[in-house]
Amino acid sequence: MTTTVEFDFITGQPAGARLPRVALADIFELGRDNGEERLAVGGVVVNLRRRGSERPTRVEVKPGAFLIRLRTPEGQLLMKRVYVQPSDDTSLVFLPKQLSEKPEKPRAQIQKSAAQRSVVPSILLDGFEEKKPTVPREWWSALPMARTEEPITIANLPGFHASELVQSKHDFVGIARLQAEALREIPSPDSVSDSVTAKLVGEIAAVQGAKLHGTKDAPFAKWKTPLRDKRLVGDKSQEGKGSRYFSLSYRAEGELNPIQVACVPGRWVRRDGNLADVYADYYERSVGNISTRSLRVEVDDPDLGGLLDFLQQGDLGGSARMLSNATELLYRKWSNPYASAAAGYVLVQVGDWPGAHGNWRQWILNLAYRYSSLPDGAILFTTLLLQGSTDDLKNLHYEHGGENPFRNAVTAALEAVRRGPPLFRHGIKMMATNLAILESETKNQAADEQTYRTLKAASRYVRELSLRVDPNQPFCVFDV
Amino acid sequence: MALIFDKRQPGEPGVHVVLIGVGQFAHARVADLLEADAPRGGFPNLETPLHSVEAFAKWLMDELNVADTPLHTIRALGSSASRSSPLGLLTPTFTNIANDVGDWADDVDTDEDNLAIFYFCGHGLRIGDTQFLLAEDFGANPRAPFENAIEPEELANAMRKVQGHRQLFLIDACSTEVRFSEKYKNVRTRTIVQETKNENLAKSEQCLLRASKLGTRAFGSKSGPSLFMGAFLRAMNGAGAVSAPGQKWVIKADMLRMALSWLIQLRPEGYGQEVSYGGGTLSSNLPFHVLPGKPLVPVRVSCDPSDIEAISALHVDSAEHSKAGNWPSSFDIVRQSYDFEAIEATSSGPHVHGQALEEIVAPPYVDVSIRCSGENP
Repeated sequence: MTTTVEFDFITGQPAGARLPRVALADIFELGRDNGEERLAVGGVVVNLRRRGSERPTRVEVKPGAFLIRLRTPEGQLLMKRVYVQPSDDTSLVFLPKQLSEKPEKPRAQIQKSAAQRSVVPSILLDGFEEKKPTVPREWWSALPMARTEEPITIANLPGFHASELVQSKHDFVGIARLQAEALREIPSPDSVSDSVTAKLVGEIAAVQGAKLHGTKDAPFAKWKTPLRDKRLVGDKSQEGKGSRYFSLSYRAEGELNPIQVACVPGRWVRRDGNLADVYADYYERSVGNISTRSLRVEVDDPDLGGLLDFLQQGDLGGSARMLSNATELLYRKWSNPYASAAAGYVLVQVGDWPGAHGNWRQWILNLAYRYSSLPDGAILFTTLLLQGSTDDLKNLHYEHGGENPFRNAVTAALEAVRRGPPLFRHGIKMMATNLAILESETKNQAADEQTYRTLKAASRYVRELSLRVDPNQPFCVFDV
Repeated sequence: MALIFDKRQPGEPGVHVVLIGVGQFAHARVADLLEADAPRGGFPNLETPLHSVEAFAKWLMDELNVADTPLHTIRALGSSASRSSPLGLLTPTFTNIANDVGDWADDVDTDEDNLAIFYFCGHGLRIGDTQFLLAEDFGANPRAPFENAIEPEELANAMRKVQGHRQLFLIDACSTEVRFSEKYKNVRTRTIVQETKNENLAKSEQCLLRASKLGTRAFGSKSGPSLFMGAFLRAMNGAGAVSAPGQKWVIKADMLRMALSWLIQLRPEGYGQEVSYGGGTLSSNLPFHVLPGKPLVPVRVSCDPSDIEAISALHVDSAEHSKAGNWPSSFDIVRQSYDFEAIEATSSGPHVHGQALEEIVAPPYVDVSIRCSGENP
């Protein structure tokens, strides 16, 4: 008989608090008189946002007394003691308490309130939004930028009807989805603010408005494909190899005023082969004395969510299973290079661990080399070159000889910078560290003066990214 | 004097500690560096860093027990606007910090079984992705006002190259984010130990714990150690311990982190202060202190509904622990199973409002809720 472990991370949380995506469970076997505990299974990943058809987490154990500790990335802890009776099936099944479903409102009630509203005196409607005329459907379509003669920046997107796509109830804030190409050369660190577009986005190739859903206080946008135009985004196999994608948060009561730019993934393929929803919403962020509404990016994939949350907190050491999951994600890069990059951060940080696969470093090199528009792979490989031992690196197989920019750490680091800001915030810190090390190594070598100057410029660029990035999020979101 | 404890044994591994408590910030205030960008409250002088350094130094000398690795050195720097320390500490200017941290790094580099402990208490702020820990002379150089600060993750990364691979960094400072105006560019701290290519990544057992996660504040008391240090010293009695073979209990970073957050949040001002790992470094589950006996586990007991606490005494294993209306916010008890009861003394005899029986009390902490029937006796 299976033993159910029910747990509840919801009770006691403030209203509207978001339930974490995953928790880690450690299962301890209790000795005689519960005097000693022995770790039986560590780091079991438990999905807290389980949907109807998804199977709950199940762990085989021996009969006996167990203490189970469940912890979330934010540090919440629940402890449960269970006794597993001897039987044919001695597995533990983890079942989170789910959020209660909203009761469906009776239809008659809706009709009644609608009828009432039509007779409310006009004075009570102050503060209600005056309904905007519907905009032409094509204004929501993806708009290529190739034929415009005007300069294209995040503050000037010719043909994009920014102010027409926002509503007063959202304080005239909107989200635009951008498709862009990386620059051919490293952005100049000395250029003035008008090149912020180049530094954060590269060359903008297309733009599309994202419809905001949700309430006045919590608007959000979601999509599965970065632009709703197959001709522009191309085939799924091109993810990470061609265009990059960004979300632009702007305010446009009249003119378009950019607020933040977020790096977002393209099509995100989940383990089940379906595309995950990518969400862009807002949260309250305190900066100094000011509280501002800031853009937040999330991907609805429990495989990734847990990884990113724990990566954000630096809390990865306890979970061999999470590392196995990361390895599997890294090896799945053909279907999802973005998830592979997230997994790469975990594996490069942890380095060698007891269950590490022999050739994972080669896979990092492949991620860096084959996904030429993803800076994260190049950043990870630079870190491997700088921090790995000679034995680890000598068996790496390089393709295409001299053309390959991953022959040494300097070219790998500069290639990462050329590709633009990394998708994941973790990459910025890694980039800065890599460049500082390389700068210090080349500083006193007269023959390398040009390299030193280039590295110094790259360092300044990364420093600027670091100053603009929102430090509370796993994806890179920059203040403009 | 910076070296307040020196029992170095050449060729023998040991524990090497550096403690920094910055309590005065005259230059930062005068320079009014960040103007409108400054964190809420600016940079007032602090009393808690010196208390924290003194309390930690005492605990290290009296209690620290790392198997086969005795305490070898403690270097301490500290300042306060109102008193001097009986330990006779040097002031934590950037130069003094750099000298001490440099000497500490050299000591840690003498043996691969050394354990390094770095503790900083004082003002901290976060600009973008970088945390700045402010030295006493932060802001003293008007031409480069931000240079007299430490970036802890940079230091931790650089320390990976030294031989002693077990390293614990405790950062007891705010991590409040500062919006940075266009006024300054390329703001960075001075380097104390240069990061280099290193071959020790796989061997490194490094853990960096922050008293407050990104964007949040850390709190202290004018008359005692900070919330973080108070919780840390309490957790050393058992809340941060895990069971090890041979009936031993060892403090490990994972358990410690959870215990610290919970203990800090017991205090009203600590609500929202969440202990977190450093983001840029790998924080491993570093073991570093063996308990002399069984762990003492912090427990918070409450009644549901809570108003029963006003009329009932708390009984633990059939003995009265606290009187009616006087339930403690938390207390520490030895790890084992306990019965918790809410019992009201009435004219007709004791009335049991509720029980929580055979509750396992185990690290890092336990919240016990006694469900009470609410019936009148």
